[in-house]
Amino acid sequence: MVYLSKSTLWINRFISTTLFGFGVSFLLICIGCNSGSTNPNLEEKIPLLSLSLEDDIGQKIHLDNPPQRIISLSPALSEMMALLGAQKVWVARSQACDYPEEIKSIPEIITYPEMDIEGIIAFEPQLVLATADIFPKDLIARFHQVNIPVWYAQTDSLEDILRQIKSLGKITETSDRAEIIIDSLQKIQTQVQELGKGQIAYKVLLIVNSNPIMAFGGKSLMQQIFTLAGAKNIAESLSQPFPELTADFILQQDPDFILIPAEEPSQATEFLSHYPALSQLRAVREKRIILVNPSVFLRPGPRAFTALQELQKILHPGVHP
Amino acid sequence: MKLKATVWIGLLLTTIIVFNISLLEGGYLSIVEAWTNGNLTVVQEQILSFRLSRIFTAFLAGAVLSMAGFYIQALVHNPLADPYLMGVSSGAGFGVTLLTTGIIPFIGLYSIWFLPLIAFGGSLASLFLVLLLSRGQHPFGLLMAGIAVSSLFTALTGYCIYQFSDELQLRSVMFWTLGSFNRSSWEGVYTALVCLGISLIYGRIRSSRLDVLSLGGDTASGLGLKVKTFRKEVIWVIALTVGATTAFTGPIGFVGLMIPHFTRALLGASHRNALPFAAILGGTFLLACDSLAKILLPPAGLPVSIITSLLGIPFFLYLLHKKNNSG
Repeated sequence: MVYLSKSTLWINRFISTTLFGFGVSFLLICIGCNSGSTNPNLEEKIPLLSLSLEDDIGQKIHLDNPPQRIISLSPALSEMMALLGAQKVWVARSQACDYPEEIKSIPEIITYPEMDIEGIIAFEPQLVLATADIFPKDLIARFHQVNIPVWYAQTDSLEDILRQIKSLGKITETSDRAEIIIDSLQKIQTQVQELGKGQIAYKVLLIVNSNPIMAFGGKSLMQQIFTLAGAKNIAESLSQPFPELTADFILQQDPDFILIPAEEPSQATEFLSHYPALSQLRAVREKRIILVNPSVFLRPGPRAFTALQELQKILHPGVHP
Repeated sequence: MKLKATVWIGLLLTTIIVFNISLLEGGYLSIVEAWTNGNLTVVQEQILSFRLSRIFTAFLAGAVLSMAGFYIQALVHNPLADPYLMGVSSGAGFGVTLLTTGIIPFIGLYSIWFLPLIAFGGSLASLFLVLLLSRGQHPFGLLMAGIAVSSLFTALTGYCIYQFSDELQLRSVMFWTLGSFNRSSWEGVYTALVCLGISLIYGRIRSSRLDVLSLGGDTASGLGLKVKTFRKEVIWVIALTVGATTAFTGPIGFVGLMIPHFTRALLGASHRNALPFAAILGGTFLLACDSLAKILLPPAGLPVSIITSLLGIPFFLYLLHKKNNSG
């Protein structure tokens, strides 16, 4: 079976937010007007330097000080925080934030299958970071009810990722480092584009979920990565973010490569054993079933640029120096 | 007699048309042409095999559910009954969840029959529980018990998912509960075929008893029918056929409610004549719903239960309104 990264699951959103609502409502009754209180010690220690932010959905967030207590609920944003070296102001992460290894020492909050809202409040966060790939927008309103601002990121392109790194640099006062990171990521993209000139666009299927078979649709970050890396997504004509595919559709499209995000090679074998008819595909006959790192290929974070580079290496191994 | 023949011919013609639409929908003309000319490539053969297994699963599931609808309406003497509303599907769903989450280990040796068997076990447990809870009560009590048992199994399913499943298993169960033919396989077709066979044979040999039972428990007892024993027998048939079939398709509501009504309106209430007709009508109806689902959201299609529910709920409300008005 192919596993979707814990972070990129829409059902996760559904489950975690449906019952989460009850939790928040109950808490509101319990907390009442206390929720507006701030930590006086912090105000004394830090010089006043107000910060106005705008997130990916146009939300204007005004903070009296740069936040000193940030919680990241999104694995993609946690990767950015780690790159920025923002651990000083980073008080907790969700259990799905598992990369890079060193962030595992940051306290963990459970968000799946249920969001531990009490645990989050106990950390007294001044800002919560969340992304649209895991949490629906109503999460923001729920946090607002307990006076916690949510910076909400939505990633549809590589440019969105660069913009998010820039904003997080501003939030965590690491703008210089953010500029260096953005620059190096842009270089990767430019290199891939230059190396890819004049290359054949192979037909590719990247499997997001194995039962039922789901892929990335035409309006997604992965679609951009496919195009830049010289690949033709066989599901590009489908408008949903994760369209469900049928085995006969895949047979008709006959991809040149099948990418399976999985850790164990046995998962690819298992996938094919579920759909024996797919053994007729060109990709299977010519042994072009490739295992890819799930968190690199399915997470809309900075490693999307790594995915871009890796995808080009898989499809056009000759072009890389 | 003449009217009956016209109705049958009309149904068979509709079935042929719907079958052709289902086969050709989505640019399959060239494959079907290659098929009729006998020069299919290996890949085309596989594509066609998928399409045919989906068509047969949809048709057979529709037939099985419609017949089960007839049985259940006779069983509870209530035209508003449907296997879906009686907890049969949620019992089957619990069985499927036990397997998906690995609580019951999958026995490879009997793998083809294992899934439907466990689902059948779940359906049987739920239907017997319904019968136990509503013992000696009015048929409406039976429906209420159906709702209670359905909720119980849904809760147990939810518990298993939360406690024991990973996200992949959660998704499998969730997609199963939406009811769809996208994951059709020939195993599912064979299972549904066996179920339909059982259902048709049972309907044939027990048609007169079913006619008596549908007059209501008291009248049936008065006419000499051993109501208790016979009800148990009917429950076994419903649980077996619906449980095993929905193991592959997920729950599909309201087919078992609507089709018996249409059939009775066209052919009258006698089970002997009506059951085979209901089977074909239900199969054609569900096949048409699945084609519509695929046309609305290609390639995999919307979960078919969304379509059947959208059509079935207004019908259910109409029946409810009619029943209330008639006192």
